[in-house]
Amino acid sequence: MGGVRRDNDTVLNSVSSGIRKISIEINLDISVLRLKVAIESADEDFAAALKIRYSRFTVDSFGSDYHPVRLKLEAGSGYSGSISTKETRTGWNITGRGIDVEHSDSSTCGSIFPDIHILDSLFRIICSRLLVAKGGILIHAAGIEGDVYTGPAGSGKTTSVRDRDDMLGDDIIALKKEKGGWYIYSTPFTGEFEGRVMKRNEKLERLYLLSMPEGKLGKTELMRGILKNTLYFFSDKDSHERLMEYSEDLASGIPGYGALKEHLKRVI
Amino acid sequence: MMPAGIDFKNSTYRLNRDIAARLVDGSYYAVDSRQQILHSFNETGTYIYTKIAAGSGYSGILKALSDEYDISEENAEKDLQGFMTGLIEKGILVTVENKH
Repeated sequence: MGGVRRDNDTVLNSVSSGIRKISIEINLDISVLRLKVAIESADEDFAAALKIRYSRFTVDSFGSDYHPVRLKLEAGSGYSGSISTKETRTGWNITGRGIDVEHSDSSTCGSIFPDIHILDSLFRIICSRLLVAKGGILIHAAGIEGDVYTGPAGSGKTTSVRDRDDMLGDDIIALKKEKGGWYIYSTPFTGEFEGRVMKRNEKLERLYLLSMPEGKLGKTELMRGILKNTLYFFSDKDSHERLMEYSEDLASGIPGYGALKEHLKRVI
Repeated sequence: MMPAGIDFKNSTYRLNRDIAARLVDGSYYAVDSRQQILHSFNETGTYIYTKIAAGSGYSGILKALSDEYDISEENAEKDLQGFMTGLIEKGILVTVENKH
């Protein structure tokens, strides 16, 4: 094996072979998920982009509890179209928009178009599924200490947290139930703030729906808002039942408020 | 309006197996896991949905609806067929077989 380059908080192994291919290995620690990612690539720019994108969510090593992800970079037919998931005998096929992988609850392998945003999309899809199995959800939301602002694109998520030092995310965050309540986990799936969100978690105290008029929300309004903004890309009934259960639990235990921004009322 | 070709009285039904449903504060919420669409039902809809989920047939639901809300079977039938038509159109309810 070739030399190992060790950065401050990233382990990036570049293994040279006779045909200029390198293997990028990275241990991603996203909320309560651990992805051991190995990517066969001949693209050092991609490796550099990978390092920047996930630098704050990598660790040197895991124990034995991780989800292996093995990918090849292939330009193939490009990255047009939309991503779809289809259930198979052993798991799921995730295809489209430059992604062609087989995913099961024990591993993910296949090929992707060499673009960091395509890889990011794949990671979101994988994490959405693995997280549901562990009692959490990925949600379109911005977060600061104690507060989560959820809503569709353009509803003011980034604006809600832009000037905050305690930001946990500006686009996608994870919520997970633990002893003592629900917690907000930052993720690397950021919008404007790429590479600036630290890996951390905080107890969830309040939920704001950016598409609802100001005021306290009822339980069912809040539950609907949570479900509407939850990211999940698979069509299995069991997980959707869990998502409904989690949404109800959140809506029962966390106070929710409408927070429609005055200047966005005409847009949403 | 009844969808063309559906004879409510002489057909049997079941809920679509892709539907994830949950009773929250007295109302049913249902997600079609393939379409990822959330549906919610009012009180009467929840009552009928509960009966369908329990395996009751059309005639049994009609009688129960009439008794529960103290309305004639004729009026109950309009509500029931309207609701079931909506469920069928949204893919929540599927016709299993026609008894004829």
